[in-house]
Amino acid sequence: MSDRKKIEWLLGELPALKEKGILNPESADSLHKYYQAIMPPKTNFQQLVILFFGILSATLIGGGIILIIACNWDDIPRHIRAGMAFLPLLLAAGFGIYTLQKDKSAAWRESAAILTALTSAAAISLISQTYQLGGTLKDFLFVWMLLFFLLIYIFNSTGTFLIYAFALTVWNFNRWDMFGSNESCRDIYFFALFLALPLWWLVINFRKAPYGLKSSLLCWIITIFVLLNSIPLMQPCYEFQTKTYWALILAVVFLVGALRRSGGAGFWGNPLLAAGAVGITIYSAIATFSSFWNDHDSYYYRGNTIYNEYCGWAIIAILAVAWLRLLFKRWRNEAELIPALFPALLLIPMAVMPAAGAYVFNLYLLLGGIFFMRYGFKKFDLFKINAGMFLLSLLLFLRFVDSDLDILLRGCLFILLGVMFLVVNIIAAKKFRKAEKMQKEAGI
Amino acid sequence: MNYKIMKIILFVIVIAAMLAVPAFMIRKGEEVLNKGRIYIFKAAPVDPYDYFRGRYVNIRIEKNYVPVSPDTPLDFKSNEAVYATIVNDKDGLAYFDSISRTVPENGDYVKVNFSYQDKNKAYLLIPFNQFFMNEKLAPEAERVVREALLKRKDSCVIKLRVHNDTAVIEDLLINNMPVKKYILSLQKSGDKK
Repeated sequence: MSDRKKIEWLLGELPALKEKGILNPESADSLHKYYQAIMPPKTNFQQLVILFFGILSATLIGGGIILIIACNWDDIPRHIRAGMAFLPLLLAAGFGIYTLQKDKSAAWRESAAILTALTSAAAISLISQTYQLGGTLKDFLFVWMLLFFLLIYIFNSTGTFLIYAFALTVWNFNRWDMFGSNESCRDIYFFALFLALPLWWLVINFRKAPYGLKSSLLCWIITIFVLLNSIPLMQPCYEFQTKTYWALILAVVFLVGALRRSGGAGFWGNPLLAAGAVGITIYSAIATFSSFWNDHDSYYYRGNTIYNEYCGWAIIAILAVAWLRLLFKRWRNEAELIPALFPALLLIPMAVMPAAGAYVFNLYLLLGGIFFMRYGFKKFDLFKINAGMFLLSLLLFLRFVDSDLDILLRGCLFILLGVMFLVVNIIAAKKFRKAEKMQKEAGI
Repeated sequence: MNYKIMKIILFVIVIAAMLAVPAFMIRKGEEVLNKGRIYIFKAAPVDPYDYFRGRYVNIRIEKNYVPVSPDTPLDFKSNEAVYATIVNDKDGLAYFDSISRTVPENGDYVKVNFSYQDKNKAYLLIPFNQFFMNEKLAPEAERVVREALLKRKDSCVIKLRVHNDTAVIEDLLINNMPVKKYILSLQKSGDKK
């Protein structure tokens, strides 16, 4: 339930509470006034459409300018071409100042910020090609991101943040150096700096409306960003460091999602929970194979031990602290505890007895499946029942893949699994309806 | 101070920085083109399309390595930034002579990245590898450059200007003629190769 819906519900309850004498009229009025004042505005879809087309038009205009400029006007003298590179940026600057001065709407702000960011990229690119200066995409993105990140703050622009996240991801993949050179080690500090630059803006927006439309959109961008950027981040590390990192990051993502859900975020406003849960399930499934536990202390490239020894451990330590803190916060929620404990289940066998790891994870999926089915029946939650059945089926499926069973037998077992899903769902739905009816009759 | 005015001032500062970066690039480019020494490198071609930077002919310097002694492995990490000195051979063609971590005291040099050592050659990752052209002429340029290099009947060289540690490609020459002029002369004579 969103903040607005919650407040609307509370305001709807106030007259009844006043009538029953639970609240005195003064308190009810004070509560009404207070919540009326802090209630987030209703999402205006007309405004949303205008905002969307504002962003789209700014992106198209910016892209068009880049394409026109990319034409290499050979016949125009070099100095004039160099001068032309500044024109789009100056126009965008004028547009931006007008938008700020007149305190224009979100669509104007988004358009001005995106246009300024794109035209600044166009100016650098045009000069670079006019003077045949060469250079790499990585260096270009580095300078560009430093130049335009402040636009996110000045215009409070989600579109510019999206461009920033995209540019940083491309930069990070370009930074990825499979030999682990000194440059790639140095760049990890720059990556940390780039991560920090828009952080305050994110904090402001999440504080303002934690479960609003903007926060939901930002959650989607952050989820995709975190998962994508984890790939180059841990590439030059030891294999066991990479495995530990993925276990921790997935658990952290899941727990942050769980926190958001308990705060009132809906499914679409909370991709973190889904990404974490799906990631942990896939990772656990992979860990049920014994091959996962072999050679886990090897590392991909021995180019630079500084990265492996220090950066890798520093990243893991930060994540471990975040994981423990979140775990402490969500300790009492038993349904979240099973996926949240996943890094510990991975780390203990990895450190003590890798040969037992595959057995631990087979047991983990089995017990997890049984737990969720039991929990779902207890709490009348069909989703949890199906999640439990899915885990059990996944485990059975993986062991079929691993075994030398006859194809006919495998087919029969899959049909059996399908029937089991169907029957359990029918029984559960009937049971829940009956319980609901009894509750109604009892007047609960 | 008014919050709105503060935002406008901050925006003006950002715009000033955005203008300063290309202005600095122009200054650097002009300096190299006016003061830089010319070096001629033998070329090798490929041609991708860069959305942000228009059409260009991707060129590769044929001798993208430094001759080294096969007995002494170099102490450079892959992708490490190094300074490569440039000298001319007896035919007037340029090549990279040596690499070091520090700025060389004598001669012209460029900043490149070390790639790997293969026996007596230390290969380099050279950043000046794109020659931007009109998007209509670039595919044609790529074709004539490739033909010149594969058939080896024409010469194809890169004219590079070097000043301090910066290099810019001044032109791509086919039979000592700028590639654009060469293509236009082919089109004029109707003898499209």
